[in-house]
Amino acid sequence: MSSAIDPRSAATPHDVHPAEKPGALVKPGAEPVLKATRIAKWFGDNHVLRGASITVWPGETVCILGRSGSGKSTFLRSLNFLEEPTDGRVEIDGVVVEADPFHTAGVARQAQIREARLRAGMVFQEFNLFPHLSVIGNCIEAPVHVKGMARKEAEAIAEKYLEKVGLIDKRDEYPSRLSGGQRQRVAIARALTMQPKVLLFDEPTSALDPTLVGEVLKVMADLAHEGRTMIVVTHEMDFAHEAADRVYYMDQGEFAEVGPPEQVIDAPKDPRTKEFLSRFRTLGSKK
Amino acid sequence: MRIKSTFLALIAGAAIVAAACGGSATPSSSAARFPDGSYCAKSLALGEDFTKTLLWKVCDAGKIVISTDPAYPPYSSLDASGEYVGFDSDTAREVAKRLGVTVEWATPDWSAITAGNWGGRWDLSVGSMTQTDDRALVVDFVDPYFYESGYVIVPVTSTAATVADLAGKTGCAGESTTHSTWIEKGYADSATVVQFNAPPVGAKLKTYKTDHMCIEAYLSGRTNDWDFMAQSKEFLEAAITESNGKFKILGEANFAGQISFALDKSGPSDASMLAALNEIVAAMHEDGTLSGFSTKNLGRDVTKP
Amino acid sequence: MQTDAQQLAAAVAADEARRSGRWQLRFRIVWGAIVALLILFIGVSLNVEIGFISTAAPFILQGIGLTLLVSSVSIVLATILAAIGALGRLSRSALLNAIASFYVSFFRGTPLILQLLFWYLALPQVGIVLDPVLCAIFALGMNYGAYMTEIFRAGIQAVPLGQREAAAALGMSSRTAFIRIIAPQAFRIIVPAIGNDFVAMLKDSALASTVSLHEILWRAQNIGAQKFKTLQTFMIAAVVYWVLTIVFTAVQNRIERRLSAGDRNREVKG
Repeated sequence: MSSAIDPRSAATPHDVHPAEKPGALVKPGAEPVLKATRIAKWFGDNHVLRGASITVWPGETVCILGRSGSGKSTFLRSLNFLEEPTDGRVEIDGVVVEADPFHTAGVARQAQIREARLRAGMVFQEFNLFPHLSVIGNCIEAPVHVKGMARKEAEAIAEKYLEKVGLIDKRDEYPSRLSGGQRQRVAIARALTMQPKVLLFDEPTSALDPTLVGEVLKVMADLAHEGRTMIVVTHEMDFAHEAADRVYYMDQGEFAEVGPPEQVIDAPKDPRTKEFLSRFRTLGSKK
Repeated sequence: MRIKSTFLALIAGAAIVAAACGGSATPSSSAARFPDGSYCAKSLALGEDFTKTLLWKVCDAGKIVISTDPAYPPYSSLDASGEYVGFDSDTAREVAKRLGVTVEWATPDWSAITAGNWGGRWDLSVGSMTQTDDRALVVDFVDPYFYESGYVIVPVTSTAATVADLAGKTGCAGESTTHSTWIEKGYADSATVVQFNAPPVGAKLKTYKTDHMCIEAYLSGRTNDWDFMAQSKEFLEAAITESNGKFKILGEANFAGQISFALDKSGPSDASMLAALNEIVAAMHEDGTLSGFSTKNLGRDVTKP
Repeated sequence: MQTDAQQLAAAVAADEARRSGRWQLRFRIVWGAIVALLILFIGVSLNVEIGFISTAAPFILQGIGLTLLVSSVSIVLATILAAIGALGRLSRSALLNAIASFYVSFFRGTPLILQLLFWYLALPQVGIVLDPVLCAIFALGMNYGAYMTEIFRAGIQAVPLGQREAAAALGMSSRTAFIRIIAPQAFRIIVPAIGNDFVAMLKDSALASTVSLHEILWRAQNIGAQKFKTLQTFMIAAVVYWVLTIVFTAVQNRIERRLSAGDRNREVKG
């Protein structure tokens, strides 16, 4: 993978927020697994992201909070270039991709993006399982056809993760026969089967029936506790409070407040965070 | 001209080499595949360069594609077993036999045949085509193989007694037929067709793609479709029979035409084919073959002027 | 021991079954009545001669093979062209997009019979003499391919964007994503349309009679013309086409049902 490493990365200045310190499960001296620097995004005249940066060390779980339309999903989707940022730079496990607003970079950048995506698994709000493939088929599709892994080997890995999310008995079922919670757990197993360095969760419980949210959050909490690196965009305060090493509060395309959950959720300093959380409480959160 | 057999063998050898090299082939020693005395056998034996001629194309292919009408009894029609039967069909098969090749049938619209420019889809028309000056511009006619007269029928209820009584009336005919031309303008000035009666003054022409639609339209109840119809005697008599006498023939023949095979002027050079066909037709008149076919299919001999 | 509620539910279910049974019966009676009326009308007013029909029918039935051959080869050609055309229409390349869009515009914008005559009459002028069967296949295949291009394109676009994103997020190139993820899903959307077009093509292949292809309609025309009875032979042809479409519509329904097996029980929730 040495060819994938941009030699400029060492020299490029990176905004590390003073509150960004390696979490409890991070081994001493470990390098960050993901660094996103001053990500900006314009949709026409709409300035959606105003230069947001994030640093995540291996083993950390970080949560991004913010009201609807604050840009947190766009930011997450910029990390694996499902959304092309207008400006900024993303480094995932040594793979560096810069924004390319004028489409001047060639196919080499596309290959670089695919390299980055192999290192960052994603779980979507709407699950996006492949309906024409069985549960196991969903999991091994990319390992076999992107990584060139042998089918048997891929199946063994997939089965391990299906076991972990508690769906090994649904191995040969089709997604249409699963509940929403089961589908999202399969989506998590599918992302894990690629053995990524970091998992990106884009509001993974927002499309679920309230009774099914718990089973998904439990799987995610288990992953967090065993030291998976995760970036989670969510509205679930309890989960953030319980599982996150660090919480980012996004407002109008910028991170307004960064810090451990006890600080950002329980004792916010920034007036914007305060206002958001007070609303949240009056809306009936358990906290 | 006569050529020594050694010379023929040389040509044959050269032809094989030429063919093997992928060049255009000249007639090879395969003359043996044609029956003795057939025109293809004779012509190939002459050893001249046929490559650009229709006769060579036909002989080389071993088959001649002849256009015919599958629904024009008793001249040509497709019977239920898929065989073509009738005077034209018998004649066409005999011509192919004397050429020394097999027949393949093509069934284009009549107007496509008389318009020329066949594009090589068929080689010869044996389809009761009357020689006319207009057609002679696009096709080459072989000497006539029979003679046909144009007649008129009217519904039995019609009060007309002669063709002249049909002035201003509507006449029906198949598209691009000699009969439609007669209704439209007559043959007073024709060099090939003899006219006995001028068409009705001010007659209006109604055409269908094929002649039989005139009859079918009338029988289906469209009795105001036309007041008279022009066609050959055989066709009209069949229509009277099949309709159980709903029509009657009005008077005698209005014009007489020479009926010939036709070759496409725009196709490959057809001079040698024309010469061969003229000889074949003359022989078929001479030996009574044509008369036999006529009597068999039409019940009378139409092959004499 | 049944409760009142269970008894009520059973009674409601029985009533629904009874209603549905009665509806089916009425449906069939009306169908039967229409067919009977049609036969009666034809028998009484159109002078049907059983003797003639029994000699003409076998000749016409021999055309079924050619009709099926032309239709099936044409639908294969149309499917290939439509797949290429749809990729062209979805391509970012202006060149490919322009070619595909011209193809669709021209072949949808001119009558099928003109296209058929073009293959038959125009090409020989430049020395290309195609067999009438090939003319019919090219004309039907190219024409239907143009219509199906738009159907294929719509089918591909109907696959949710999330599928593309999920494939991309897993590191698939757009080519792999198309082949492995998008195309199989689009295929299920498209298959019913291909079936519909095949049934339509069975009937449109009758146009090939104008270039003297000896298929069902040509045979009906010519066997009927000899006796001035094309009306009767056309009726035979109509029945033949009708039966063919009924048979192939049934086949199509069966294929569709099999294809959708994986998507069944969509509404099951855990």
